[in-house]
Formats: sequence, C-alpha cells, structure tokens
Amino acid sequence: MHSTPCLQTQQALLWHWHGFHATLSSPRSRSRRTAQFPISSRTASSLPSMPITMAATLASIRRFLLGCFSAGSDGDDTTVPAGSLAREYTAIPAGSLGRDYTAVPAASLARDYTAVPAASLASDYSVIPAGGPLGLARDYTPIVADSTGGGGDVTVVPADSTVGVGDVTILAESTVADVEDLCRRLPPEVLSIILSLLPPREAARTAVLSTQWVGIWASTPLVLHDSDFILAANFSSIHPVADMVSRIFDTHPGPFSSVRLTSFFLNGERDTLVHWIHTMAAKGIRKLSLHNIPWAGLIDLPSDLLQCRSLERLHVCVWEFPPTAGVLHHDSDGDGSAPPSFPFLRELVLDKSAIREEDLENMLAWSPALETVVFILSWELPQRVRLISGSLRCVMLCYSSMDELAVISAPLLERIIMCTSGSNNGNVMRIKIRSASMIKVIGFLQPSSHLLHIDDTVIQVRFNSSSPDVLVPSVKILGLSIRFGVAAEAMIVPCILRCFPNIETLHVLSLDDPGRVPGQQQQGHFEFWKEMASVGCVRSSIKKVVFHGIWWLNSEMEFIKCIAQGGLVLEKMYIFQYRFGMVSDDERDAKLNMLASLDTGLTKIIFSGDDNIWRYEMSSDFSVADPFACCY
Amino acid sequence: MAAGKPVVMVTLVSSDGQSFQLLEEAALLSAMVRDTIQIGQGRGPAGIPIRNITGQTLSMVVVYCNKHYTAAAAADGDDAADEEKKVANKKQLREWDEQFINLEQDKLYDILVAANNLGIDGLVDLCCWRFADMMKGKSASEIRVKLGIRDDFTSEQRAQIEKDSPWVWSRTT
Repeated sequence: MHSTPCLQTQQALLWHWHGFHATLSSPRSRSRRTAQFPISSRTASSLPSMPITMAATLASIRRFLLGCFSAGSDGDDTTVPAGSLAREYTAIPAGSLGRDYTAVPAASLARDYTAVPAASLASDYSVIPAGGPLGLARDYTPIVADSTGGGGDVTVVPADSTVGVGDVTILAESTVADVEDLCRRLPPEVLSIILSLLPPREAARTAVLSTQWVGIWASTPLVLHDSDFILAANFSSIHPVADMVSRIFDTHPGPFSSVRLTSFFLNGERDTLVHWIHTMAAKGIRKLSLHNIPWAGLIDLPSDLLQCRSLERLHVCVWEFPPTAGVLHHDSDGDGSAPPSFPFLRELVLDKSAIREEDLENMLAWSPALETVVFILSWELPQRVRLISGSLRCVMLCYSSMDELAVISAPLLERIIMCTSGSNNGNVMRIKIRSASMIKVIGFLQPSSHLLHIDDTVIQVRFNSSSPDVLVPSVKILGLSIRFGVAAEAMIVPCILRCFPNIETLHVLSLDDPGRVPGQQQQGHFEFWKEMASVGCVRSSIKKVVFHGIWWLNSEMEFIKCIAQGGLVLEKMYIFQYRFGMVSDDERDAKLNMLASLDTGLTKIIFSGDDNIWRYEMSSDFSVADPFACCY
Repeated sequence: MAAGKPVVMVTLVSSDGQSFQLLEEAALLSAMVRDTIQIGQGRGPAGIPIRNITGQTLSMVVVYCNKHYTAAAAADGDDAADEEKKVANKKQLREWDEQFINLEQDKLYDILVAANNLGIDGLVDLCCWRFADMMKGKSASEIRVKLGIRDDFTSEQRAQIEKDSPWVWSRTT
C-alpha cells in the first residue's frame, strides 16, 4: 500500500497532462475531441454557455480525479515497478501524440490511404502499412516482395521512388529484398511464451509482424487491461474502449488469463458489464480486477460474477459485493441446484468495497482453495470478520477498520497482517486468536487500537501470563507498532510479548505520538522498558530485531538498549530511520555509537537511512518467509 | 556438492561432432537427456548425440546447465533459514542469466531452438524473456528489423486483419 501514493501521482500526472494537452490543441481538433468526449459533452450540455475550453478543462479535472481513483491503488499496477511505468508513459513524446491525432486524424488517414487505389500500387509493388494507420509515418516498412510466390515476382524497388499518401511519405528502400525470416525457426508454442511476456497491448499487436504471428495472440491466454485502450484512444471517449473490449471478449476463444477493467459504468450500461462477466465466466477467466468509480452510478456488483467458477484471483475495487444468499450456480445442465463455488480461487481482494458479514462467510465457504483475503480501506463493512476456512493462509487488513477479527476455525492460517496509519479514530479492534494455531506471523499489532484476545482471555496491562493457556507458541515473527512516548503502550508491550514465547524476529514500527512536541525530547517512561529484559522470548528466542522508522527518541533508544542487553540469543539488529527524520547527523551518530559500544552478544547492527516500501503483495507471497522483510 | 556421492559424467555430442562432458545432474536439466537416460541409454562412452545443434551453441547450453546446477546445489547446501542469503543468491543468478543471454539475434535464435529441442525450460524462458525485452516499446517494423522477421502479408491479408482485429492498431509506439 505504501507504494500507491507515488504510483497514484504518476497516474494523476499523466491524466493531468492529457487534460492540459487537450486544451492546448488546435481549435479544429479541440472541437472534434470535445464532441466525441462523453464526459465533456455532458458537462457542456449542463452548462450550455460554457466555452469549449472551460468544458475541456472541467473534463480534464474529472479525468484527473478518475485517474486517481481508478488506477490509484490497483493491486496489479503495483507489481509493475514504478520506474518502468513512468518510462512507459514518458516514452510517448508529448508533441507527437498530439500531432498524430490532430494533424492526421486516425479516420481521415485511413480514408486518405484507401483513396489511393490499392490496385495501382500493387501493380508496381505491394504497399503494406506496417504499423497501421496511426503509425504509418513512423512505421512504414520497406517494401518486400514475396519471393516464395514463384519466379518473376521478386520486385526490385527503385531506391529513389517515393509514394506520397496524404501527409505520409513512403520511402522505398532497395536494401531489403529477400531476407531469411529467422523467426520461422521457432515453433508456435515458443512464440506464445514470448507474446505472454509482452505488455498486453503490444502482445495483441504482434499479429501484424508476419503471417507466422497471426493467431498466436488468439491461441495465447488473454491478458487484457482496458487502460491500454483508454490511453490509446487519447481519452476521446469511453465508448470505443467499451466496444473494443466487447469485440475482444467475443473474438478471443479463451482462456482469459488476466483481465483488468477500469472503464466505469453508468447504471444504464449495466447490461454491457453483465455481458462481459458472462463471457468471462464462459471463457474461463482466471484473474480479474474490476474497478469502479464511486460516482459512476453503478454501485452493486452484478451477482453474475458469482458464476465465474474459474477465478483464481478476484480484485474488486469500489463495489458493493453482491448478496450471496439464495444464489445458485447455473451449471451446464441449467438446473441451478448447487450454490456457487470457486474451486480455484486463491486470492480475494476487497478494495474500498463493502461486503456483508454473511456474504464474506459464504465466499470463504465456497472457496476451498482460498489462501489470501485482503481488505483495503474497508471501513466497518463488514463490522466483523469471522474466519472459518480450511484453506486460508493469510488475512490482511490494509488501512481497514472493523470491530472484530476472529479466527474461529482456520487451521492453516499462518499470517495476520495489519497495516494501519496510526490513529484509528479511537476505535478499538478486537483480534481473537486461538492458542492452538498455526499462526507464524502477526503484525503490526498496535496496542492503542488493537485488543488481543487469546482463546477467551483479553491481554491487558498487568496481566499475569504465567498460565500456559494464553501462549501462542507457533508465532515466529511479530510486528508491533508502538507510540514510544505513551506510557500505557510501554506497559502493555511486555504483556503482549509474553504471549508469544517463540518469536525469532521482532519488527517494531515507531509511531508518532500525537502529544509529543516536535524537537523536544519527552521525559520518563524509561523504566517500563526495563521489564523487557525479563520477558522470556526477548531473553531466549529473539534472534533479530528490525526497528522501522526510528525518530531517535530517548525512549526508543532505551527500548533498543534493553532488548540488546536482555537478549541472550540476539544476533542482528536493523535500524531504519523515519523517512522524514529530523535529527542531526551528529546526534544520530552519537546514538549509534552508544548502541555499538554496548556490551552485548549482538554481532551486527545495520543502520539504513531509508526503509524500503512495503507492498501488500509481498505479504501474501508465501515463498518469502518474513512478510515484513522489505528491508534487504 | 554433497560428499560421498559418486560423480557421474555424461557426454553430449553436437551435430558437428564436438563432445562436451558434464555432470549428469547438470545435464538432467534437459528433459531430452532425462528421457534418454531413463530408458537406459546415453551413459556409455559414445555419449548422447544431439542432432541439429552445433558445437558452438551446445557449448553455451552446457555453460548454462553447469551454472544452474551449481547454483541449485549451493542453495540446497545452505542453511535453509538464511533468507537474506537466499534472496541475494537468487538475485546474483538472475544477473548472471541476463549477462549470459545478452547476445546477437542469430545466436539467440540458435540457443532458443536448442533449449526448446533439449527441453530446458529455464533456458527457453530466459531466451523468450530476452526476445520480449527486445520487442518492448518498438513499432512493428522496428521489431522486424531487430528480430529478423520478414513481412510476408499480402495486402488482402492485411486488410482482413485490420477488419477482424482493429485493436492491433490501437497504438504503435
């Protein structure tokens, strides 16, 4: 989630840039664009006297917002390194895109081109636009005659001959007469692998390379991101994009490997969406991301989605999850006798979406392979999450708030990941786990807003945990986010630690203390940390401590000192500075020197100025043992 | 390499008669070698004849197999708990791969065809990754030049594609 803001900014910038560009283009093109653009035409019709430029600007603002919301926190996007995304966008020369569209409108170019009689050209040599109408100027391929066609067909193209088509000049080159097609050596299945490694838009375009490539795209599982078409259409209108998606859905035989839709829907367009969902269900959709816009008018996700049996990953963004009660699966016989089932669903991401408690429970029950459930910005909907699943391994709450997260029966659950921004508006969330569990990773527990229940016991300050009933021996990695200046939190930390006797790695995230005066070191609270050294896991099981976002407060230093001195098996300590740190280098060095001079068994203290960005995908990657280990 | 294990070597013979000796475990990365050995052949001094693959190409393939076998063996021997080292080793191997595959197009074709025939999935994927990398962000004609693809469409065929799949024209940067 942390990476989202920068991504969002790029996206926003891009959208914004397009908006800006639209207002700068020539009057002729502007009026055409405005006429095509449904948002701006709607805006214009509601304000008939508004000048076109104003309408276009409004549209650009709207698109700017739309960009923030639709693509901002998309799970798939974040898998793309932010840098490469930027490269891809900035690679579009600002001027040329506009020129292509304004000086040579796509449609007119195509018309101009066909106006030249194909036959007359063909009589001399076959003229083949390589990159299609839009890229004709750039893309024109040297003319190559088909030498396999039979004797006498080999054409020698005069080097100085040029053929003008509208604005486009075709340069004939004599250098390419008859080259061996190296690619012919590769069998279709290899071409299919290459194609699957290309970005979706470029993968589809390989069909124009040569006859060998025709059909490879259709025989490769479909990867479709409609944002490619939104970008390609230069935001002229959403309808051509929807038409394009419909055509691809109808044409591609399947299976659909990954589809991400960010086009927004008005209530009247519900049928289109339902048709798409039906097609995807029929063609075996595996990974689906459905993004909506809060003000688009369509809020309820069509319940047809529950018929997509083949789903492996489902990411819904800004939707209300359809009611599941009474829904039956339409199997091939059409008798609809069984409830829906998702035998392959491994990951469910509920992103800014609402789901009722009972619907969530049904989804868990219907998905026997479900490993990961992620809530992103989920606010009290559902109020309670009760986990009953025979397959669930990871549950994640990113900036989400609910009254209760209860592990009722999830024997395979390994990870409870919570990522919060600090204050929880005073809400307290109950986290109920069992002492007999498989949970290996919990974090970040936040004493101020999480109330831990183990079996039926509430873990509170001064709670004496000598009884073995409240121990969770399976936990190896614990994350704590602590306000170091708050006494109550300092007191409960040892109590929490005592519940997990076998922790090997402790992650600590230092939160800002709202009561702290910047630049002024607070007094006291040191004595609480002294208790740390007597905690069983600190003494004899914690091998590694990772301190994220240190502010260099005295209480933080005291905490580190107590752990370092009390830990008999502690080997490594990682310290990451708060991103916007405000101590001088001298002060920091002095404090680090102090730590280094401690007489402890520590073999390594590693200090780094910057913590890496934590992404939720990493936390559900089970091949990485420590989901918080973003630091190396 | 685990101690006490007998060292078994396998000989691969290229189409132009060059012989390459390598550890059997390394050669087993190839499904074709695996199948040959499974049916009880290929262990003799004559080795396994590899048709259609020249010595020059085969030597590269052998380098790849040796490197990946050694890396896998080292990873097995490592302390399983040392996550950081594992991640670092993985990264190192990936860097080696990228360096290894940074080749001219004709050599790249040779290796991809060889890897495909020998059934070395990792090497096929690596070559495909390299090809895809060479294609990314390029126009159709640039790709043709880069990969040596000949445009063999007739104008009718092209018109048909344009009609059937308009999205292939969506943008041609």
